[in-house]
Amino acid sequence: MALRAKLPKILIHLVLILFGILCIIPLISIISVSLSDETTILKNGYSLLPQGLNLHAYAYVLYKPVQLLNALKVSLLVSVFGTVVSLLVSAGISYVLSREDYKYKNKLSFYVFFTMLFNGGLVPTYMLISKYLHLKNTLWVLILPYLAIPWFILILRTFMQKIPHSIIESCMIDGASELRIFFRIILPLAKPGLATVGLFTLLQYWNDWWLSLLYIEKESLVPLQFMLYRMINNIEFLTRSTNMMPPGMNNVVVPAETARMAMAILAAGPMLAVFPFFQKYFVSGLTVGAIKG
Amino acid sequence: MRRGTRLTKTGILAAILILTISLMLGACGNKDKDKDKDKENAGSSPASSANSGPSGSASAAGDLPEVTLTWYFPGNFPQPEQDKVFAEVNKIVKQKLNATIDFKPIAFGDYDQKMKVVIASGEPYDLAFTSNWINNYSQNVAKGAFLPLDDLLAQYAPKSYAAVPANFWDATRVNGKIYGYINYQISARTPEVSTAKSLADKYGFDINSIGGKLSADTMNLLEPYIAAVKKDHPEKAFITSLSQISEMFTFESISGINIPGAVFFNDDTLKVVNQFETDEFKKFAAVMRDWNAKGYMNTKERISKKQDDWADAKAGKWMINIGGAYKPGGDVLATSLGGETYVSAPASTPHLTTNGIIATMHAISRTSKNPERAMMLLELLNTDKELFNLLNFGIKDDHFKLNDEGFMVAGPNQQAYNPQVPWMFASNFLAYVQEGMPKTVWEDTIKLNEAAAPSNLLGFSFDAEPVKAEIGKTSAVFDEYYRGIELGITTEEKYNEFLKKLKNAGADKMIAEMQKQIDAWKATKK
Repeated sequence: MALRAKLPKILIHLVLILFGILCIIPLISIISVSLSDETTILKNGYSLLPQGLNLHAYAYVLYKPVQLLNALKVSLLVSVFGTVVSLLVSAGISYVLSREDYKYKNKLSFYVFFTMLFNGGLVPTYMLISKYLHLKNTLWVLILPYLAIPWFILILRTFMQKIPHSIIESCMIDGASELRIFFRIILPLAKPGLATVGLFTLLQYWNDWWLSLLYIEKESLVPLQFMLYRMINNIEFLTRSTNMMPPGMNNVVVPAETARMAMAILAAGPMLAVFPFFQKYFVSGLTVGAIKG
Repeated sequence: MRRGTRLTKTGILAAILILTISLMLGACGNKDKDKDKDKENAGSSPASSANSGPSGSASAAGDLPEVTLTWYFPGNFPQPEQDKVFAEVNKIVKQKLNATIDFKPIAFGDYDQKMKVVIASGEPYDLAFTSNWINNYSQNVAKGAFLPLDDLLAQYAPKSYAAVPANFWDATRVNGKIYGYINYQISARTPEVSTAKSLADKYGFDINSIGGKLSADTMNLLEPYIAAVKKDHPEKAFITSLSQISEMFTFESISGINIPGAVFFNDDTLKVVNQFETDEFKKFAAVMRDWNAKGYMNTKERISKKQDDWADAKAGKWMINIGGAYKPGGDVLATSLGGETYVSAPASTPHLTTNGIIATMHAISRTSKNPERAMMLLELLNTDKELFNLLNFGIKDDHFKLNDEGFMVAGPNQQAYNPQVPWMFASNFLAYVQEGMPKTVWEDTIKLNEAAAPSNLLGFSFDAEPVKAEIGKTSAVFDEYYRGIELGITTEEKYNEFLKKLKNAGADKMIAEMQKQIDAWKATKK
């Protein structure tokens, strides 16, 4: 009897455990490769347990870690600062868009929505940013373009629409100013939504290499993801076009297998640590878009 | 009450945030304005420097107005201590040319994308690396992105212009004008045959005995050696890569071995054929098939990879390799890659082709405000040995050292600056000779260049634009089949299927287009 009742549960758990294992295996193998001995990896291929445990790869990557640390600093600065400011901006727009009594609500909504479908294209954008705004090689170019992302604004707007208008009205009757209503009432009520969008924004900033590829030429402003992307991209390029290159090219030292994995761990690490803290809000926030009250 | 104070806190925070943003933005704006001023100053200078005329020799730096030159180039960048090295370079350049270089080193993988945007947006820059394999030369010339260099070369870079043979310069001409400044290097191309010295000694194989003799007909020269080693070392395989051995055949591939269209070196009528349909190529495929049947290839293990790399050599899985490009001193490189001493030899007689020459060039941008100063910089880089080696190897006694015999050896801090792209900065022949290479390596290379038979197509470069779609399709077909062919798994039946698919992908149309362009080029030459 007892077993029969438990069986489905056990099955479900087994499936979930299996799924969990599948998710974590790649991560474990990356960690294990990064801790392995280079030549044994070349001979035997990847494995789940480190072969010939050593820290050479990390020593290699962290040799003169100025670059890596600096990239980490840039990434952190851009991600944290960018996320805070972006949340403030997006919440501001979303709140205005969610207010029934705002006259230009539809027009503004359309304006936001329109940029989701159409944009200036690569070269005009590049010209605008480098020639007219003079943002090339500044930290700002990594932050400003993602300050207001239409999709996130629409998510937040939907969330805020669920806040009853009567609350706002009663605050007004009590004599609260618009700013006070926004900061004291709306933002706290929208916390789950803000956390979700905040996480998305954080990931967007953290994972971005595109802006730095285009606009950053100063080594001191290169963020972590771009560093990583550049490394992978280089390896790919070098294997693809060896036949076209001038002789002497094949002596280029491609970062070894283990070093690459060590870099990946160092780059992904911080995000792995941040994620669990957001998870609490994440689940409730995700359902936000699904159910419209 | 408590609420009130809390609210003001948020308010203050918001206000501070907004203020800092605007302040920082303002600050950035100012900085850029200053930069612009610099640029304006720079912009106003060419007139005066032009007045000073051809006296642009190094000693005349005092008369030259100060300029900033922007230089885009690809490589293994960033290097940890590149800023330190670039600052040293700028000290010399400042003193000799009264110019400052704004270095823009871009990683290989990003360079194409970056230059496309920079060129399309008309952003001002002075120098950029260009070639047939990255930042495509002929396409950029067609776009009008580069300045013609004929007059500038004669006026501001007479020494380095004279150092490169005239037929090299002719290879860079588009509609009669030179748009690319050649970084002189090895241009006579043939693949390199290399094997570990320990193996060659053990089995009594003299690599020089087969040097320059390999072709599809003579692959059997290698067979005794392979068979002997194979007996004792079943894990070692014969390695080659179709995409690296195109120069071993007796025809020149017009747009790379993977694209149908080739001209036989001995064909004066310049008739374009499909190289995969030639008897020679079929014979090569047959030899590979035979060797696979004999078990020389270790196919099972290698089929999972698209390309062999030297990591396998280090793991002891290579026996003999044909690929890369032969150059004097090449065995030193193979040794560093393979992890043990290697010996090497040229696979066949080298030929001088357009692609070998235009593989390493610099161009001056149409948007450059100081083209003559950019040319002076090129002249300086190509004549000042010390400066070139500073860029190439870093700071002496730190990143590299010269030993008692004058060979370049690694310095204590080599890891911090070692871009390994000598042909990228300037003439390769100015580089200090690395320890282990023959002292005369550059003289040998120049001799090799001069001795190489120039191809009949020298100076012709194919404009791929009209058949872009076909190129994409045929190279996709090649991608599907090449690994099977080089490993010898492709049966004759499959090979015919490959030929048929190439035809369907538009091989004939491409060959017709190549023929058309070659005929037109031939007509202008006469």
